[in-house]
Amino acid sequence: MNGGRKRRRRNRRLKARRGPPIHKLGEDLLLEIFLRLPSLATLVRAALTCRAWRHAVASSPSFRRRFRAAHPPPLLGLFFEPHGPVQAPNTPVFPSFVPARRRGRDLTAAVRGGDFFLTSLEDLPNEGPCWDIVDCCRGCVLLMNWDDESLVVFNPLTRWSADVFDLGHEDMFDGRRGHYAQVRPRLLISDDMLLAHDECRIRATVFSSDTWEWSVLPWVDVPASSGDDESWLQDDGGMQANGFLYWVYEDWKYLVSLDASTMEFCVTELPHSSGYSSFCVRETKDGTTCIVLSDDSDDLNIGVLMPTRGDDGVEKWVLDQIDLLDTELTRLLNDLVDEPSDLLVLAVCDGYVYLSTSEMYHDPQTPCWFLSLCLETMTLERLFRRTFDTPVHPYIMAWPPSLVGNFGRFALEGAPSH
Amino acid sequence: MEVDKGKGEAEETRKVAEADRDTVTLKSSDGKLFEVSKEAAARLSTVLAGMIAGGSIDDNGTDLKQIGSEALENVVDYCNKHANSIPSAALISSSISFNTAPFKEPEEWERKFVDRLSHDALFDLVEAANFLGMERLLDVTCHKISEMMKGKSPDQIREVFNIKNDYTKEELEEIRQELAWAFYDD
Repeated sequence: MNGGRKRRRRNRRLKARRGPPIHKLGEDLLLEIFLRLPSLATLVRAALTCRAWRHAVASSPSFRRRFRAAHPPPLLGLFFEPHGPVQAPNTPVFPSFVPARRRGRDLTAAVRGGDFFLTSLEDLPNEGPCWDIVDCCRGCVLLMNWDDESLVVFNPLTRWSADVFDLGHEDMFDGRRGHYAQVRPRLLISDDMLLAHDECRIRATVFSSDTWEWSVLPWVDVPASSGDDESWLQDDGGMQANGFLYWVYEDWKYLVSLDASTMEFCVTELPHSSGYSSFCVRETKDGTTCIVLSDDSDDLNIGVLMPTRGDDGVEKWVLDQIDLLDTELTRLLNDLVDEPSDLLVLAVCDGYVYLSTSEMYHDPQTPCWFLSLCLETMTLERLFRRTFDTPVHPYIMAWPPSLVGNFGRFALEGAPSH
Repeated sequence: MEVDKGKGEAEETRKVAEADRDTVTLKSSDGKLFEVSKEAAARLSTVLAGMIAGGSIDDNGTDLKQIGSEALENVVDYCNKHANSIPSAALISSSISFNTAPFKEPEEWERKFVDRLSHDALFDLVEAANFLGMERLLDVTCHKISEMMKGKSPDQIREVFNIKNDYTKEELEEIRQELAWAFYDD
């Protein structure tokens, strides 16, 4: 009796010293388990359990690469731009968020715990409640206040917002020729940028969050547009991939790219087509840049363009594959939609394309389906059904800094404690 | 010269005799012996396959010093069950859509097999599967543990695995500022 109690006590002491049984698995095996977690949201919650687990994820770039490759992007939902904030000054206007449903309890927890109603913006001093969403990148949204002509970067998951800064710069149109215009502001990795164009030139203006100043870059000559449209650059969609920003000509002839690290422009010719209806540039899962498009024909097609260097050494975009989605779409949507006649590419990210079954403004009264398509397997998935009356921005959860390196209080952390 | 040749011949006959047997004997770290079908062992474990092909299997029990008797019993049990199970249609079809699901879903019997294990036994089995290069068993066991983490806050995960929260107050504050959403209990 007495001996048994002693033994139990000793066992308990031994156990306490050894730590919980799961800690006997080495870091490699722990990461094997983590690799099988359903989403980034689950990984974040698991990794925050103890120091050793956070350290295992934060210290292994190869694990994070494998995790990314093995999982679809952690889409939390779509932001819809508000209805015409310009037309109704001083009326409270906010983008609306529609969560992607049934994607796991941890992704749901992220939506529930974040501020996707953007209520935090109401706390900003001296700003009217009139916000439009203009870009979305790495877990942050770029919001523009039309009334006050100001911009702010906000992270709905951390509820963090940067200070508000003024839109644009008065020097932006200096030295312009003929008609000129400014296209939507865009969010770079840490800075914001504006693009302006006149009749045949473009120029970038960059706001640095370090110096808190706009810098105006020189005008750059680009090929003339064939159309007589004064705004010859398309101004929609958040096209960003591998550190490059992209814009398409209204006449679909050229693609302008801007290397965000060097701020150098490059113009490439696009393959001739009778007409594209929608178009997006993003990186695929393996890190190459591709263009995904749907065209104007009656069939439901999704085409993928890949960059190819021709015999003359000039880089061109070549049609890599075209997939007829008719049968796949019919299978998926079954009899929910009578005749899905249009298919619009909304955005491409991490090898996934986000689509809608109707064009924007086509029929704002009737809801259409929002879908995701895996480019690798060409499998479609339903997100939700809603009216499509304003442009959308998919919100994809970003890897939190505390899992991609040892910063802040973890900067000096050496070997894991277990 | 003669002696060497004789020894070689003896080795040869022993190997032939071994090749004729359709089971192999494995010995756990605590000296217990287990028999397992040679075909299943070679098919499911890259390490055992290498040992069988290389002739380094010991008739009197191949020493597996890293694996305890309970884990080895589970390994052998898994091999035997696997040998008897017919691959289901689900398994075949899921191997086609490999790209979206890099890990095949466990089959019903595999689920039941890991569900009855204690935490200790499960973690030991992960280590044994890893040591023996048993990809499928590693998949099934790791999948089971990952299921135990799903849909839970860090507090709830700590409770399941009996883990101590070893973050300092300051560290926790820093993480909470960045990732408040992750801490809510459902």
